[in-house]
Amino acid sequence: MVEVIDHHSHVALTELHRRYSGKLLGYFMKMMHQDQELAQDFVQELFLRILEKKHLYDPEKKFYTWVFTIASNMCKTAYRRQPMQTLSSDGFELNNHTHLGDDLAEKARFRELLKISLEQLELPQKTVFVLRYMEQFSLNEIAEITDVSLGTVKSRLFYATKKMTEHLKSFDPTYEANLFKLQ
Amino acid sequence: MENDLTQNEEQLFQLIETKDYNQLTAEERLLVDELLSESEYNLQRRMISEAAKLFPESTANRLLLPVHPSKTIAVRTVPLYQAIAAVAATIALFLSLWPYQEATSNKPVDQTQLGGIDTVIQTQIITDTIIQYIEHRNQLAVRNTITTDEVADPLIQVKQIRLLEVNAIQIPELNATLIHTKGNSLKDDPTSQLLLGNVYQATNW
Repeated sequence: MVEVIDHHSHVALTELHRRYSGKLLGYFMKMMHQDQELAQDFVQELFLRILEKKHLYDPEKKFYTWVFTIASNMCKTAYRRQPMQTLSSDGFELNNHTHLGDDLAEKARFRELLKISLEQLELPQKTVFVLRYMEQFSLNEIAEITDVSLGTVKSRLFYATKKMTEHLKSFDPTYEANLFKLQ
Repeated sequence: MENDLTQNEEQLFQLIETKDYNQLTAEERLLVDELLSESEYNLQRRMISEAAKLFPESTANRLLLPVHPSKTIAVRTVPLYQAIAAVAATIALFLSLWPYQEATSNKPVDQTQLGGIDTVIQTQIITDTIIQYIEHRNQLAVRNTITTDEVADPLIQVKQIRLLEVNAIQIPELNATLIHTKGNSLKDDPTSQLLLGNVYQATNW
C-alpha cells in the first residue's frame, strides 16, 4: 500500500478516499457532535496525513485499522485543545413527532435520546462505543486503534453501555415499562 | 472504570452482545438476573442494535490534494530514527575531529611547506655601526701575571738567580770590547758635522 502511495500518490490516495471517506466522515461526525463541516475538514486533513506519514504504516497490520488509529488520535487532540460541551437533557430539544402507539415515532425518539446519551459519555468510552457498535470493529482491532489492552476495551464498553442505559431511563422512565411493547 | 471486568461481568458483556433475553439458557438467566433486570438487559440490547443505524451514511467532499506534494527539503518529514541517526553522526564526527585539531595546533610549523609559498615579504633591519673596543693591555697584564705565577716554583727561581749571577761576572777585557761606553760626541763626528752643517746653512740657524 505504501509503495503504491509512493509511486502514484495522487491516484492511490484518491482511491483510498473513495473507499474510506464515507466511513471516516461518519466516524468524525459521531465523535465531533455531528458537526459536519468540522468532520469534512478532518477527513481532508486525515488523507494529507496519510500522504505525509505513509512511512509509519506497518504492512503487517490492516490499513483500515491504521487509518482509524489516525482518526481516533485526531479526535483526541481536538478534545484536548477544545473540550467539547456535552449536550445535557435540559438543553436538548426532542422533536415532538411522537404520538402514543406510533412505533416509528417512538423509534425516532429513542434514537434521539440515544444520541444524547452518546454525547454524555467521556471520550475513551465514547470512542470504544462508536468503534464497536457503530463502525463494527472487533474488540482486538479497537484495542489496536486505541492503544489499550483488550480487557480495558471490554471494561470501557461494558460501563459505557451501562451509563447510557441509565441516561435513557432518566430521560424517559417509561422505557423500561414500554420496552416489551416496542419490540 | 478502567479495571478489567469480573468473570460474571465479562460473561454478561458477551451475552448482551450476542443473545436476546429470551434466548438465554436458565443458567445464563440466573447470571443476568444477578446483575441486571430483564428490561435493562433488553434496553442495552436494543441500544446496541439501534446504534448502528443511528446516523445516516454521509458522502465526503472531494479530496483536495496539494499541487506539489511536500517534496521540498524545508517541509519534508523524515522518520524520527533518521533524524536521531543524523544528529548522532554529526556529534560523532565532531568528537572525532576535535582532539586532532588540538594536537596539530601544538606542532611546530613545517619549514618545508614554506617553500611552496608564492610571495615572501622580507623586512631588513639596518642598525648603526657598533664600535667594539678590545682591551689588549688588560689581556697582556693578565698574561704577565700568569707568567709570574708560573715562576712561583722554587726550582725555577734558583735557575733565574744563577742566570743573573752569570750576567754579573766581571770580565773587564770583554766588556771593554763589547760595550762601548765611551764613543765620539756627535759634534765631534765628522759625518754629523757635515750633515748638520748643511742643515744649519739651509735654515740659517
